[in-house]
Amino acid sequence: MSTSTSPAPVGREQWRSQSGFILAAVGSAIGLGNIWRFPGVAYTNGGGAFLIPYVVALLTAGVVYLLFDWAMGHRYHGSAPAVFRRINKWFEPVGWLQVGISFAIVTYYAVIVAWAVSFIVFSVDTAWGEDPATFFVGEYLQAVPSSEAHVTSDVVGNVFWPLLGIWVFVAIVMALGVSSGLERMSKVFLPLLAVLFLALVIRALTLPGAAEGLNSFFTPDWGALADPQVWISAYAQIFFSLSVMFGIMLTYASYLPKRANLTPTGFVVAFSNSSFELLAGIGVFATLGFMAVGQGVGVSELEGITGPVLSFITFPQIISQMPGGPLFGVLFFASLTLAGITSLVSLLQVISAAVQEKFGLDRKLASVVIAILAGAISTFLFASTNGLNMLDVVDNYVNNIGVVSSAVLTVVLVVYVSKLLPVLEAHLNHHSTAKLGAWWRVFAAYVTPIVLFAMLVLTAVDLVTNGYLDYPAWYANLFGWGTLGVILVLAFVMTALPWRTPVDLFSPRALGGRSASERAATRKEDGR
Amino acid sequence: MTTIAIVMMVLFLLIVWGGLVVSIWYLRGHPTPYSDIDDDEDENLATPHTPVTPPPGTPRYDS
Repeated sequence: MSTSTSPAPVGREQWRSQSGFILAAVGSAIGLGNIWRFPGVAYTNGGGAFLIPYVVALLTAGVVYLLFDWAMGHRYHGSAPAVFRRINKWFEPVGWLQVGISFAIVTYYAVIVAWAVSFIVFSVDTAWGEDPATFFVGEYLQAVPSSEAHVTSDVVGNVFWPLLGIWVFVAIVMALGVSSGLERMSKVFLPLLAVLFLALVIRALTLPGAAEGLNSFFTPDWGALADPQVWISAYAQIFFSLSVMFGIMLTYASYLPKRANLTPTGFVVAFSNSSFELLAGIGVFATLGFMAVGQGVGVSELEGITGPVLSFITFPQIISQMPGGPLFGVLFFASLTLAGITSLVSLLQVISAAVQEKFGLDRKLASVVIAILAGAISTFLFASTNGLNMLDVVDNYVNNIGVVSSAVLTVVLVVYVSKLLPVLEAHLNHHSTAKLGAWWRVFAAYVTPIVLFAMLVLTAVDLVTNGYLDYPAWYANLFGWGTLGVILVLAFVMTALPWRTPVDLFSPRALGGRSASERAATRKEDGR
Repeated sequence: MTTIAIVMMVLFLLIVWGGLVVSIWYLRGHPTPYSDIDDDEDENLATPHTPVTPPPGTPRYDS
């Protein structure tokens, strides 16, 4: 492995400040899943007892693979395909696989953000009326039942216009670039999200029944700890929540300057994400407690406590019942929108960086091309009357099979084929004031990959044998496995196309000179 | 709320939010000014050097 220095690629952008990078990375990690997935997952997997597998997963998978991603991005200083190619030219398809996964996710993620934008407006006069379920599925989405899912491109106007607004906004942010677009947006959106969500949680805690909800959320079921599925759920939650191993964190770290403090920054980002998640759990269950008490039932008897149903059906139902509901609704859906947009732009940056480097495209042109292409696909597939079904299927297969496969492949190729783990550890230690020890290598190479592999096999076997929910088999196969197949084929096609930038004229960032901790010690001695 | 639920909530908050506070506190105690130049290279800035310019026609990664 070469340790010689090379200048940074000409004109490559950089984060302007450490706080800007942290906010952008936290913004990427905090997404819709923090608000609508974590509370339900924690509740159904042992409640308070879930704390143990969750914290174990945070430290042994979340932090470990966040730093793994950052080490690759910072050392090889490029988009996902460029980084994998620089490690070994045969690995480039894995980089494109990550780009393809990001592309698939943005096409439906933008649609969910568009729903949230619509619901900010609907909250003002509780437009969903007495029956939010019929309003959301029937009137707003005009969706067909999942058992009757079919192929159609009847675009729903209700979704189209907010979706168009989202695509225009994110295209502008992307075109402005990493420091003027992403960093500046994160510096405004993340504090705003924190303030809005904190206000929402305080309001939720003052509702009658809030204590009942929190009681259900935090009461431990110690027996759950003996269930392997609970531990797998904890790893899955941390893994999906932190956006690791499918290009985002790798791409973000590639925009860091040479002098950065990687490991401590990784802990800040990982704990920020979990802190928000916990806050969301408190807010959501305090609100569900209010609903349960109002209906005279226990929280355990409530339905629709996770996913889009929680956000777009259960919460509107609660908003209609509570004093000051419209304001609560605006806070909730504005929080969803902000969390969604910051994650959406991070996914788009994975695609934009790869396209710019592969084809030598100008940043603005790349942003426009990607926004038009992804926007058109998201409109015709996911803003249609069949969009809800397609979104559900694609999301399940791309996340549970695509993202986890990408992680397993990355570990196998980087750790076992290229044997780069000691190099990545040395890189992290050189560019950090806190040193990693053997624990990082053990979890990155042995323990966590086994959990991820188990997750992958169990999910794949279940999908192959039982299909997905009550969707017709042809439909789940076409849009589930089919989407993954298209991503895989495109990964090889993109690899076969020639690079228009000198991707191979590169050597990794050197480990020579003084390390971050040595520089810190000098500054301390100098009183700087 | 039951006592055990309160204990678990406090533990959850202490570990997760405490972890955040400690990691921020650590990072603030070890500031790393962002730069593409290492301190060692800083010391060499006083030395006359020839600026490195890419050959004409070299494609840019990002403009």
